[in-house]
Amino acid sequence: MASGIDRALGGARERTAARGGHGRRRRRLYPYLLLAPVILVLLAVNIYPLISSLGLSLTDYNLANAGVPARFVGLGNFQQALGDAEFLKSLLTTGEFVGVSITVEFVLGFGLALLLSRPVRGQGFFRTALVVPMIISPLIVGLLWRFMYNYDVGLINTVLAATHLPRLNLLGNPGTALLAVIITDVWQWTPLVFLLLFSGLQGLPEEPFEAARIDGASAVQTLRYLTVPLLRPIIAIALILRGMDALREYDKIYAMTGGGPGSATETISYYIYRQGFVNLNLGYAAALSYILLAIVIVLVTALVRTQLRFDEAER
Amino acid sequence: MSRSKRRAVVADGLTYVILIVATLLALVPVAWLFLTSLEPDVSSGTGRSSPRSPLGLTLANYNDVLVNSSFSQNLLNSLLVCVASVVAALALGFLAAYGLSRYRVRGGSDIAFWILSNRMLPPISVVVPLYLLLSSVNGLDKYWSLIAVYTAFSAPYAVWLMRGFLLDIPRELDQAALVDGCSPLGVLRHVILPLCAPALLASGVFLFVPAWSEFLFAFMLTSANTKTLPVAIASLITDQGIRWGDMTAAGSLLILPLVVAFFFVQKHLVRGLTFGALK
Repeated sequence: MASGIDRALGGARERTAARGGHGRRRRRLYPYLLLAPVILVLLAVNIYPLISSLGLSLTDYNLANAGVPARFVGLGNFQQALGDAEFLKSLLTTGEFVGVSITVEFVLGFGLALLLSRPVRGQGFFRTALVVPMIISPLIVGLLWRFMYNYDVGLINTVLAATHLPRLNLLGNPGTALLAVIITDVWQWTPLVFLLLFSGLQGLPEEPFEAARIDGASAVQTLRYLTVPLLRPIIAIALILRGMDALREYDKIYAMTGGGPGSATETISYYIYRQGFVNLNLGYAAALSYILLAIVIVLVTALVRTQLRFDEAER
Repeated sequence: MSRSKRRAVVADGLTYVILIVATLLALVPVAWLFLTSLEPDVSSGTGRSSPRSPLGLTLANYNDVLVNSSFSQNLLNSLLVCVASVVAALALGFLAAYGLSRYRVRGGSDIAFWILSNRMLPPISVVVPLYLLLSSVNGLDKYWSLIAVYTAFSAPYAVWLMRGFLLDIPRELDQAALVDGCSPLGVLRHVILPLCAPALLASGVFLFVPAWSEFLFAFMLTSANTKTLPVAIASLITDQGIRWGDMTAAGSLLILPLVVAFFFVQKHLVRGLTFGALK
């Protein structure tokens, strides 16, 4: 493989080869040496525990029974999970949370991105200001909104009371608690979707839109047949990123409701946490967390394979 | 004014109105957080509403949080763990990204994707066994274990961010230095690293932000000695309710570095958020 570089190096290569070519073997090892540290750390902190968790999930290990050795129960935990009403409900709650959140975030984010792409003054200011919510720690966002929802001293009820409207107890009511949490999530993450789509819109070429305008296409037609298809990779990335994070949501649930009232806002992650660290049922929690992991892997693989090509992203 | 021109003006006006409303919705809660932190604690159970008085600003909450409690220690814990893990992740990530971007590794893109997929693991799935494993080696509530966990948490992100930056640096530079007799390690040190300095800085900020806010791992794996700030703030949630004064003050302290960092890396925000996949 005599490339131009090889020819340019010319004599240097020959001389090294004459010296026994010691460099070549070492050179081939370099990339693996460079990659090894990061891979080792990831194996140690992520993969090893996951493998250990597999073993754990096949037992009935419970921290509360410290004296009693754990028994091997095979797939018993997984069978139990399939019949566990609370677990199934948490799947439903999570599905609801993820579905509604990312849909609303997408619609609002896309809308804002389109609006800001029009010739408006202060684009920079709006772009910066609208993005603020997503840099706040999710735990603080949860606590802040819990404060805002507060019946007595919260901002929302203060405003409602001042305008002679009835106060709302959104978090305390099982019927509206999940909605309240969804609103909080929408507040925090719509800016992310907005930012991604806005950047995408800024990067679109002018000519197709000029042509469409000349051909007399309406705004809706332009949107449907031109904008959205061109933005597909970015839309996919935005939805995947948000979907993945929403699926694993924990901080906000902990901060706002602790899964309640009842189990109205108990997502999968929170239920697993409760089983493992409140009920100390670590074997069962391990099994549940494997089911969650399986769901995540399936979703990621499906979405990424169909929507993205990573080599193409290197533009 | 013609009809179409009037329609255009209305459309523009509506656009501004919506944008301004959206901006207010985005900023008012944050402003309220800061404002409330500077007011006397309303959660003393008297049900006093209207925390909106501009007068009566006080630093009592900050005094409570920083002087009368252990929060300043928690803040230092957070700082130590986050800075150490970010530096480690940057080092590991930079090396790995260099290997991936400069050498043709068999299965290179698969390795890169596997590294990225680590970031998509549900934290709860890792925390359950990790807790047991660490407790068996006396690793709970220790700095080294939390730093290691946070490093693994940040590393995939670091690899992908640096990969994006390194791909922008032409390989001809490497080759030129090699021809000049530089060793491969020397190329890394004297040619690539200086060029990457601003990228490393920006990446460092991107890694720092989620680490600083991280809650679940810290919650499970720390206790009295190494408790980080988010965990300390969460401990304000009691069965008797929350001391809002303390919460808003501590919360404001927690997010202050994030807001500052945000203003510094604004330009690179999209790149950072998509793990370097988009610019």
